[in-house]
Amino acid sequence: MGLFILQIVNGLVIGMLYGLAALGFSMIFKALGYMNFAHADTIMIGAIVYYLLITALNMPFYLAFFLALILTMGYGVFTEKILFVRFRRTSPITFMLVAMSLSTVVKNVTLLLFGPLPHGLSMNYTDAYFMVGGMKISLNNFVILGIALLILLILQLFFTKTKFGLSIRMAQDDPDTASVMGVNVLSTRAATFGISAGLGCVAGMLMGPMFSISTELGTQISLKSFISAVIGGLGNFVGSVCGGLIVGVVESLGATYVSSGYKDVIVYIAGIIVLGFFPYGIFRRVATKH
Amino acid sequence: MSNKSLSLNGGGIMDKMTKHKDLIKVIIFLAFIAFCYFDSYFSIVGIRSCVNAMAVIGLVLISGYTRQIHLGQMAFVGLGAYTSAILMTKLGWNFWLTIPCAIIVAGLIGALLGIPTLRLRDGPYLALVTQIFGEVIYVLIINLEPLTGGTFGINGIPAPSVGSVSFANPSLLLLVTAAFTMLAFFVANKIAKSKYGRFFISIRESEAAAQSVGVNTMKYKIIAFTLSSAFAGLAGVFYAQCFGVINATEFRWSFSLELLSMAIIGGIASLEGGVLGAITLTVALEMLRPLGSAARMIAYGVLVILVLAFLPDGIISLIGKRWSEIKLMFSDRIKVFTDDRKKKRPKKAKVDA
Repeated sequence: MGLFILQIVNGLVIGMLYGLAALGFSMIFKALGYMNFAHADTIMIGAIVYYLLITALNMPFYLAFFLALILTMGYGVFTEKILFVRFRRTSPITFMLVAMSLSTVVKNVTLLLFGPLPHGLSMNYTDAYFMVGGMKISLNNFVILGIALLILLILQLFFTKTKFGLSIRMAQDDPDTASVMGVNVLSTRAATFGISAGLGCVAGMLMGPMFSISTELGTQISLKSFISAVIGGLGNFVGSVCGGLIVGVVESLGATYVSSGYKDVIVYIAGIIVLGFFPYGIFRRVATKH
Repeated sequence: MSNKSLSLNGGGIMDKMTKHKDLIKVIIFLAFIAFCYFDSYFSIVGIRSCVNAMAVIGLVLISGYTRQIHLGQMAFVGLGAYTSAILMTKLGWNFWLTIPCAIIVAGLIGALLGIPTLRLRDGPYLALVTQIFGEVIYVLIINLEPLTGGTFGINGIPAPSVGSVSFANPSLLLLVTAAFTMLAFFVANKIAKSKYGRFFISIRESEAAAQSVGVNTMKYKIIAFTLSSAFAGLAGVFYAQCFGVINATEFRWSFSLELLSMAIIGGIASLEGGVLGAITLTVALEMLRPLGSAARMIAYGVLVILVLAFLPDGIISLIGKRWSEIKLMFSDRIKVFTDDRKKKRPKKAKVDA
């Protein structure tokens, strides 16, 4: 029983982070109708910048957290302004290929700068724990969950209470009408990329201490966050986070009760099945405007 | 115009090709093989070029002709390679018998994967599923250790032989691989020019229009995907022979992306373009090997972005054109990418996107 609860908690924590990454991915899909395969890089960049700020510059983690967040959001806006904006009238497939090529370039540039060796970042927000059924459950997990929920809350407030947030949502729903209403669609596009990169960065920073930090971090997580986004329905924000939680719990229970070697296969095959039979996500049966 | 960036004159080029030009293409290919034949290092490069060319031919059928992005071609190459290697090392089969087996296994799995995925009309689903599938294959190869050797891969794959003549020598293997590449190209070309090819192109141009004139688009997409997988299976057989050793990490998705980049840079809309891209890039990147794999991948990425931006039909579209035509083409593309930035709009109406 204790093991089961422990695995559920682990699954929820990791799933929350998949959900954050998936949310960023889903947001771009909703705003542009394109798949941003370069989203995985923001996860990796976030984790690496965070690691470098903490270890090389000896910053306290909260300062490093904000600085890394701002830098990665800047990176997101930068890619949009330099590259993606020029491909906004091309077919989705061309955009997808451009994003993948950008991802290849960024990943390998990082590989040259950061080196191929994985680094460990041992960092606990708290050492407290409590016992459930003979299993130690660290309070650290709940801190991570709390940070993720806080980010989601801030995002929700931004999107519902501020004028710029509202105009971003409007431009995502219908760019043409929005531009007629006086919304500068180009700047909301850039903001969407920035927020999406920020979400990837938060996922990377929270995930970094759990895994080893290397240039492969984004690749490991990106597929599962794509699956999360698809399970929740592409473009459905609540669905993305729920999809992430489902993927996380399935992965962690699969690793415990089925086989740790096959845990990825379980998630991937479940993802392919969901894609094949529920293309609009498990929460919807038909394409609707979200 | 910019909406059709992957599909301009694939059909047009092929219609213009006369018999004379076909002969030139064959001669160029044979000259390349002859050049590689006399040096054992270049023989290996030549074999890799041919293997990539076969895989890219498959990719052109699905991604170029029907325009469904396929990100897991290398996984199907891996399926072919492992099928062939396991049959030869574990069961002691003859090399030539493993070729149809590899083709059938890759094609069958392609069909099984394509049926649920390609039912969906639009959206990026095939790209996602094939990318995921590549990782599934990787994890399965690593975990099915008794069959696949796990992380160690399979060593000592025996060389093909006919009677007492063994093709262990790379130069001789190159000849066999080149013969199969030409066969694969011939078959793919026949398919592309048959009614199936026309149906594939109709899906690329407009799926809705194709459906409205009675083309069963789902069926033809699945056929294209199965054929593409079968070509990858064939490529895999020779991939296993190339070094006699195979390893799971060689079939991960970054290599699928490499194959797709070859097809795009060469010109994904036509088979010739794909083969040209596969051969030139394999050789060019072999020359760049001292720079290291990271620099190689950066070069790939930058090249693909530039080609997508300025040369959407790949380098094949430059061949046979006059200099003035090329200049016109480039200035058109540059205009597409820069016009909206120069235009000064009235301040009140910010119309865009």
